[in-house]
Amino acid sequence: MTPPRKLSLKQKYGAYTRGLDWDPTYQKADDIFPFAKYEGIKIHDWDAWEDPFKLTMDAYWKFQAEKERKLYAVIDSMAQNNGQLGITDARYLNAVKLFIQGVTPLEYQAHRHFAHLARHLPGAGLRVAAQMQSIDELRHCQTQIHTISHYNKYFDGIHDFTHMHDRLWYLSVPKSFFDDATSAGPFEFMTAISFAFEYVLTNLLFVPFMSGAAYNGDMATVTFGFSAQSDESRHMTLGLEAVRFLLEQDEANVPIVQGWIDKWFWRGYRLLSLVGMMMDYMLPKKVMSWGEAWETYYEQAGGALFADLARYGIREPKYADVAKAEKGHMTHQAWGIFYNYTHAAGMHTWDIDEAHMAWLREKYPDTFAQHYEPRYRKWREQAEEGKRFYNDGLPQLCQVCQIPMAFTEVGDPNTISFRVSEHGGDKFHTCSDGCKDIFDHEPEKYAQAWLPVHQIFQGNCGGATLPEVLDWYHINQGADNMDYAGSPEEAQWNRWMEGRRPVVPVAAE
Amino acid sequence: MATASLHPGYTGPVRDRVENFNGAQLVYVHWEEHLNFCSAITLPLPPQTPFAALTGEILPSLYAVDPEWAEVDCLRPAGCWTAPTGRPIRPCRWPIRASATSR
Repeated sequence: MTPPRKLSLKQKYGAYTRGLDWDPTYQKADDIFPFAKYEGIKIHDWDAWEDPFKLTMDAYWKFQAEKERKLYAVIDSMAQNNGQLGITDARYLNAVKLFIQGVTPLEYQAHRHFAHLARHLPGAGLRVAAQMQSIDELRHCQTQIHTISHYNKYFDGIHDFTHMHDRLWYLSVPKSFFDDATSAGPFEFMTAISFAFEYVLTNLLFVPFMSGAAYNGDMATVTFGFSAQSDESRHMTLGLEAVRFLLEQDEANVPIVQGWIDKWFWRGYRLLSLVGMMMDYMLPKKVMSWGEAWETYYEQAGGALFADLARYGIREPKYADVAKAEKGHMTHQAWGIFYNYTHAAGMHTWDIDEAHMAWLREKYPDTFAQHYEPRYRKWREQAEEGKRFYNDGLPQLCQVCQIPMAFTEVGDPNTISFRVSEHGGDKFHTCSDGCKDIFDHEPEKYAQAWLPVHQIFQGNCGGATLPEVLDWYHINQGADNMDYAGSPEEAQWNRWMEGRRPVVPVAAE
Repeated sequence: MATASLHPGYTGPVRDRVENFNGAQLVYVHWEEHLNFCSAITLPLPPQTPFAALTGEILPSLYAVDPEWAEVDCLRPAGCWTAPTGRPIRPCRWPIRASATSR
């Protein structure tokens, strides 16, 4: 008897994807896949989908297990060797706090929604790709929690991140971003998350966080970054191939996909203001400025991508020019929000010292010294008089991105940009033309927004006073929130560092 | 345009209806050119709040930490209050932007 012939990669891929599919006989396909058509996307041939990686489940488990072994070896060694002492400065940890509060729960949401796509996409090839991505996302969520749990033993603001994610004002920004995507149809979700976020903008999230971790001695985060990186490249390819597939299937898909690209570019860009702020303000040792990262990863890489997609009739996202024009302002305005409201945040902000100011002047020669440095000096004066400034007025929020109304008009950095729409007899306020367009396109969706400030005023957040609301947020008051100066975390860090080595000043390179 | 939905004509609950605010009405205020106050603020006010209470008590309690607030005259006759539409409404030294919504 001859041994069974070994299958080629292509045959094996076919057997593990289309080979597992069948044509329904006693149920209508439309009933089995109820989400497939309502967005108006037309697919004529699901078999035209080709997974560029041709990854099958058996190979998938092998790869992932190998990566897990390496990652957990590093996490163990970090725990055994007091790895928390190797970071540049305790202020660095605030970037990690923002990551676990804001990003890790999105990994879990992505896991859930890719599982949904793995059930509901009519094509077997895409379903299998979505299934693997679903497992990836769950793994990323777990490995991030396991990695960062080491810091939770020593630092504040990490202890109840899932609870905070659902309630805190600044975390409603990433949460509502993802809720918007998961409440859309399967094709919009893929364009939003797999293409606009993971393909077009992901380098602006992952590269700064992982390089930032490496520069600042956080080896555990670097390792989970590496462990996730090979998955991310698969996700990016899925995003690009999925969009190409939609565009190739029917010409009528082009304007729909273009609309989603416009929307999700803008939503992703607004979300990245948190990341940009982290890059420019929260890393004691800087990797690159937000402005430089935007030029490298969006203007150059994105420019090439959209030049390539032009043959399908796709153009650059609407308002990409606004993002370009704002790149010298966005992160400073975002830091201003957090400085104003650190008393209500699960992390710290601080005075910008002279070395850091010099770095910002060098990276933002056209904007920083003129518009932002005077503001920081005024805040420093107030702090030195013992009156550290905290804004006692709750911010007005954008109905769409949910960020406080802090971003200014293009070309006029002294004037906040306000937009208003009317719907059903009510007025709705947005922060930009980008967010207003999104609202005006689907007002029924965004009129339902859970805006943290309005929820406080409706009495749904634990009470009418700030301490009551902070209790409801599960913020450990006096430790998780307020300025870094005078925090228990600062006192602890200085104790640790006494006699070890000098504290690294922020921005010293 | 309608939201793309499985059930055509879909609408959802508007979370910020005026009746959800326990009798208060939201007023958004921003002191222009003073971006040390990073963003516009939200004030839930009883509809019968007199303008003088807004300018004389509420806004000073929030803005007076800035010494320049002392120079603001919210009641000066030639106007610097502007609505989001750009329509001037009431005076003061720096433009203050206010918008009452029906929500």
